[in-house]
Amino acid sequence: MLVRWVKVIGLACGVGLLTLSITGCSEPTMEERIAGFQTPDILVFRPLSEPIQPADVQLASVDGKLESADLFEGKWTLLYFGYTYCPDVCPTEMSVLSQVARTLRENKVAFPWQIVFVSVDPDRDTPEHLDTYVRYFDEAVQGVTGEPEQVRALATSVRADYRIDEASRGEVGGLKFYLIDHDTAFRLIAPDGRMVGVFPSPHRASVMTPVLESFIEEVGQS
Amino acid sequence: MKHQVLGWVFGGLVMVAQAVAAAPKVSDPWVPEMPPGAHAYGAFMVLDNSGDEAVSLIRAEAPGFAKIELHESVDIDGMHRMIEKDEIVIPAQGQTRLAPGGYHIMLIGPEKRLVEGDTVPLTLTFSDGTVIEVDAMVRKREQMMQHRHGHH
Repeated sequence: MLVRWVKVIGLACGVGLLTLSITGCSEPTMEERIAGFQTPDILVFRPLSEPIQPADVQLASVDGKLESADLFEGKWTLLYFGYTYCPDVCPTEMSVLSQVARTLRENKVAFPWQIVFVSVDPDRDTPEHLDTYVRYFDEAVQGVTGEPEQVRALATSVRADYRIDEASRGEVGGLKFYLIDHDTAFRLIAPDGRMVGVFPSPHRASVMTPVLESFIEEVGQS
Repeated sequence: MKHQVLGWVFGGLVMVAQAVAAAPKVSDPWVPEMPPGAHAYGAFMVLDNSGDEAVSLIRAEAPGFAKIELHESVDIDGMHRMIEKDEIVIPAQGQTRLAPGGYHIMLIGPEKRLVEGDTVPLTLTFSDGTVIEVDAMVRKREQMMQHRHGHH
């Protein structure tokens, strides 16, 4: 039944094109393709049929300053907000992301991708410190941070919140110590720089990676 | 008199044995290998209580850290936060797991980076007065996570 309708529509389009020479049957837009994507489970992946434009901010990595727009351009990005003093959840999530990275390499996926860890703790996480930390998990992970207001603007624009747990503040062994409550979702940024989906926690690499691959294959081509 | 003393000693031993029988038990203690630059980390384990009353882990100590606290990781509306605990309760005839994303012993300010193969000697004090010393092995986090999932 579906096949027949597709044929009918195709024929109508063909006739339309021939007779009117218009391009009314163009490829569906990315928004339409996202809307058409059937997520297997919204607890694993939530596509955003109305993509979100992240704020354009200046960030800093071990290689120097960079614009967020340049960082995201041309690649599918899994974006995570965390901090290196994070005792439990960040290393756990980073282990998941390293498994995702390994699977994407093993599967030799055709699309360009990267994993970006944004430190919400620029006061303690210098770009150098951050770089050593993230590369322990996987060479493919990029660690970035920036001036507090730049990091905040980026996070807010992609609806990620974080706040210092004031009750945890103290000095431990000569170190400034405090914990930060933070969002733990993985955000998916398309190569055009827009956020197109969210993987909410808890994360399982074996569950989320096939969904990530099928979403990009279905939505990505243009 | 001699027999009386022996009787006291024997009676005392029986009481100790009974207390030991109901004491909390610690198994599978481990600490994930630290990424370079990490300043706080978790220690994980399984706590069992065969007794008829709830018992709590109230203190953890280990050499080589500036501070050690008991914490629970919780997710509230997609925000992750740590809550410091005065105690971690093991219900009567029950089990409490200290695992990534949940309860953990937070090891803060290590003197040196812990890597696979190291051990952390932990002294755990419980609310019933039991003190247990265990060596937590430092292991790669990913192996332990896969190990854990393998049992599901």
